[in-house]
Amino acid sequence: MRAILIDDERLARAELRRLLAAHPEVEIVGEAANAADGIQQIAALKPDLVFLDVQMPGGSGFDMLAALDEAPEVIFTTAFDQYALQAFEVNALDYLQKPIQAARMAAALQRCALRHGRALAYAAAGVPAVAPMAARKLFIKDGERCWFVGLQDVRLFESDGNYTRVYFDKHKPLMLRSLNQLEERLDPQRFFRASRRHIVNLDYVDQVTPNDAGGLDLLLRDDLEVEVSRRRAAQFKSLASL
Amino acid sequence: MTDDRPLIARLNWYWLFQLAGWLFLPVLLIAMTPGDAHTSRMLAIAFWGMAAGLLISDTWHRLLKRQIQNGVRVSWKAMMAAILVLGTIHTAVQTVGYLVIKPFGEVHGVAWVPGALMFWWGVYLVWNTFYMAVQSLRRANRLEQEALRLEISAKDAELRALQAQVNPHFFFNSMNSVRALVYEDRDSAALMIDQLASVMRYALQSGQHDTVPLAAEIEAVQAYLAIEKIRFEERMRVSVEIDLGLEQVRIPPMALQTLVENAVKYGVEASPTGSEIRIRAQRMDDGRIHIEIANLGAILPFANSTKVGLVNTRKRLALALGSNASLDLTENSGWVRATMTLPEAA
Repeated sequence: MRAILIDDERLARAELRRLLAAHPEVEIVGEAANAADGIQQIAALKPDLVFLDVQMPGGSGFDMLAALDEAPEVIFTTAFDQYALQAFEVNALDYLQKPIQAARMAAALQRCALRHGRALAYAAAGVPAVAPMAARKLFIKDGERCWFVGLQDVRLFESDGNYTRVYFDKHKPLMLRSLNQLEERLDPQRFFRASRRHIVNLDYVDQVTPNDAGGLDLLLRDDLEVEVSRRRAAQFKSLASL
Repeated sequence: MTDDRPLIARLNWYWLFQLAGWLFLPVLLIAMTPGDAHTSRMLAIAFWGMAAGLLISDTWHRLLKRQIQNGVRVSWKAMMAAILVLGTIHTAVQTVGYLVIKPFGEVHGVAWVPGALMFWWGVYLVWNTFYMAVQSLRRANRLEQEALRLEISAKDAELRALQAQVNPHFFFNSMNSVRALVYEDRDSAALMIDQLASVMRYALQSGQHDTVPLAAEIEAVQAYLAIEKIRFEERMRVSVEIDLGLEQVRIPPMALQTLVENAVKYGVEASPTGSEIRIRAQRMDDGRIHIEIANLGAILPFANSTKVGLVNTRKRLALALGSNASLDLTENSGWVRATMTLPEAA
């Protein structure tokens, strides 16, 4: 796995480097000392894994992730930021407490490799050409709360002004992205632009019924209803016949 | 031992009320008898009654006081019985007075007895009612004071707990740095452990005192800054200027430390380019002392934690040094300054 270390303290990065020396499967391809630098490095180097300090000058690690179009695997490093971590919906979160113990590091890397491998396999089962993209996750920060969500878990994106509401599990937080910005990043084979307001994950479509306006009504799992405009209905049929 | 309570609290209110109350009786008697009956004998019986009243009621007061101090609650029934007894005794004493002094000539028959009894019972009913009212008022006051005292001691304990708190974010980050340093530069690592120990010891021990000399606090702050310097390297610069003769100025423990920690948190930790931390203690022309902690940056409108730190430090300044001590946070041309103002040192 190709990894980037982001921490404002040189000694903290040195300590990570030393700990990672015991894990030859992790290749450190870059280092960053602040959020802005981190965003650049991630964009340029497209790492599989990021070690990210929660408290950083010029915006927290969470703010930095929220500014990314898609999030790589992340292992947070933190000294004592209990409140910040509580903001998190914990399921997808990996974090190491400083000073980092070698055994904890090994366990975190193992979990991470497992997740990464599973996501890659999942994507490979779809369309191989877009596999690396589909393996990515979305990081959403809505107010004080944060979520890491695999794209395969998102049922629906709904436009809400400059924001987009993201439906997954029992949650529907807002993220600061327009639907058009998101559409460019999503796998068109799985995510279908149903109308000006909606992008639907086709894996979650349960029922399709024609409506009076000449379009289609899609019923998603968990009773979400989405209308497909007439203009896009033909496109939907050709996709669905695949 | 000097009693610096206000005059109103130092007065013996019991005797004031006793004298005023019992003096009311002769005044009443004189006012109610026609002018030509004002004889020396009449005055004598009036003051006889007053003296008897003082004596009887004071004896009763002593008895009651002992009962109350022993924690015995005097019931209303006992009170009524006491009023009957006291009134009867006073009537008897008054009768003796009339027999001896003869203010209005010889005493005839017994027709006056019920009237006299009723009068003195009434007097003692008033006395006891008033006495018990004052007692219960005092008890309520005492309870309130007790509650306040408890509240203060609870706040005091809370304050000491606050003082003893070591910033865990700083502590664990330092541990992480020292761990890295062990492999990089062993001597620096050893020095950093020493400094960490000084900071911890000072944070844990200084809370036992209300105030500490500025020099002691500065020493701990220097150790703290040395550690942060290792963590932040060139992102942090430090300058400390203490005017001569201010080493022994007393400040609440951890007050300066809290402000310096804030300056590092908002000036250095939150900024990619970092900041200089300037600490300056000087005596002003008016004799007051200014201790100023400055960092590059801006006062953040939503930084709640600074407010908590500031409010606590302000409270502790007021508790330890009185209302003349103050703490202000200002922002000017890119610098945030926390200024502690201390009253002129004695």
